[in-house]
Amino acid sequence: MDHSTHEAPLLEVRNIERRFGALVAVNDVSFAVPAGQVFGIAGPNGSGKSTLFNVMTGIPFGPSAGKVLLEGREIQSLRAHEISRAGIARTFQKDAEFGTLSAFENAYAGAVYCAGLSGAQAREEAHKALDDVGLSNDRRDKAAGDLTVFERKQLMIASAIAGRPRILLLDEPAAGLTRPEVSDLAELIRTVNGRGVTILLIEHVLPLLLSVSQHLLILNHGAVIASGKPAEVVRDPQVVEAYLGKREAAL
Amino acid sequence: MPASFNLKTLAIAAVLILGLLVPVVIEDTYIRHLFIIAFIYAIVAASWDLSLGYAGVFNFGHVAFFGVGVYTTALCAKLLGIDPWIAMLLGGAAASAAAAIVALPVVRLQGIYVVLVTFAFSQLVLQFVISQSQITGGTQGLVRVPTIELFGYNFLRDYKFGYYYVAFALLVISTLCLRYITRTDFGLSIRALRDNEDYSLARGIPIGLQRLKVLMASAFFAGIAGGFFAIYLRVASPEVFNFSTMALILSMVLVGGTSSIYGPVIAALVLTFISEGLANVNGLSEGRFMLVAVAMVLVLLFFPKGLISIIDRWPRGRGARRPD
Repeated sequence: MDHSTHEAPLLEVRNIERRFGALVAVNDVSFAVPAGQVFGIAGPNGSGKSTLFNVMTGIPFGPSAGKVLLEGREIQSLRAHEISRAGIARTFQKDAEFGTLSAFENAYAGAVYCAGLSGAQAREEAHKALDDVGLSNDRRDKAAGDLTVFERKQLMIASAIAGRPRILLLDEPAAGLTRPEVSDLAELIRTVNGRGVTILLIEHVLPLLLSVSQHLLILNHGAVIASGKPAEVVRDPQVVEAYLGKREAAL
Repeated sequence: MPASFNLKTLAIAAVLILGLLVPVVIEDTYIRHLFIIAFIYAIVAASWDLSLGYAGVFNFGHVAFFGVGVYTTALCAKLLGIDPWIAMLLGGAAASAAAAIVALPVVRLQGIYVVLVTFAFSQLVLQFVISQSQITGGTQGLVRVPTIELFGYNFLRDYKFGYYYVAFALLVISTLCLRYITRTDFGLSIRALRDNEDYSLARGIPIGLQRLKVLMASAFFAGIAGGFFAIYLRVASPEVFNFSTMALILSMVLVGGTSSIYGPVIAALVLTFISEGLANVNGLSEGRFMLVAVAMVLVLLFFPKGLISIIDRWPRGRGARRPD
């Protein structure tokens, strides 16, 4: 990995480790994400991708060892909601919404508690975020639990960006989407990235991952096995064996 | 102006006027007494709805907070000679303080463990009250608690006329406060953490702090209600910690409908009057509890979201529920 960049990265993960008894779910993982990038993370099931997001955000647990730096500042010992307020917004694989709250209230909660806005400013920010993801006006007072799968994906991104994050952690956002919806999602990710939000993207849907990421990191058994330009990484023999090989054999 | 706004304002105004007229029209002391008791239960049930319904904290110590209010007020007024009005406020403050102590373990727990801790807390308070009999009167309770006066008006006069208005005012004020709390950003955040804890953290909501605040706020109103209960009945008895008291008030919350505030208030009135009304029917003085239980099952079967959902199903006027 290239550590020689002069400009401090927006986010840096240094020798992060997470143990559950004898099991090492995340093993000495290090990487740096420059501002403005879409940074893809892939790996087989159980390779520690979501656990990596968990320890970075402290939800529901922090790392056993190692450091997470946001703009050079250590954040791994902050409490989970403070990490969110510091500028790291994440989504979850499932249930990424407040089901009984309206779509608008979902986004508004992000604007109030993450961005620290209030009143008219928070309402404006929430509507702006919903505009950005393209959730139509007539759906905004519906309970989030009553929205369609794709609308809920839009909403989880809207409520994250309403909090004005520096970096957005997306955990398998394409899960459960149809193919046309996946390409809409790719467009949405580019739009959000285009507004200056750095993105960490965990994804199983490789075409999506490859089409939006500028950098790709592959995890296997909790450790980094490859990291670099997506086109090069997917040709790495170790990666092919650990992850893509099985896919291609199946195809 | 949306039609539903008019309708709702009219309904609230009508209820307020009716509430004010009750003691003028009804001179029967017993009926007035029932209203007063129903109002007190309504405050306890509605404030319970804040922590249980809105915040989703399985707080089973709420009636103990009411009890803390009862005893704090009774002790302050009787033993310390503090003005009963102030003593009632102190009842609310003491209940809030008790809630803060309960919140310490509760903010880190989930589900059934919250039930266990809060329930254990209510048993602890009961045991404490019984064991400290030289101060609390033990199982006998405290009697002859001093009562309130206002500009020389003695509330013991006029067949509970004055007490009725105090109870009514407390109910109106607490309902307004509770409704207001649920409409603030704080109210939004407690509903959010009820829906999804991890996601709340991911959106910057400090869930431990919000739980602490909601338990303290909800206990405050229960404590004030407890304080008035002691002042009105002029006794503080350990019966307030009984399981049956808790079951009765919990059923008001559930039958009325959680996350509504108005629902538990309505249910408190309905259940108090039905239960007392049946007590006067020959042969039903004991059997009424079974009838009430059956009625509750039926309500929850057909209206799982409580009585308030019947009102919510009424067609709304054009332009109702605009998004912000």
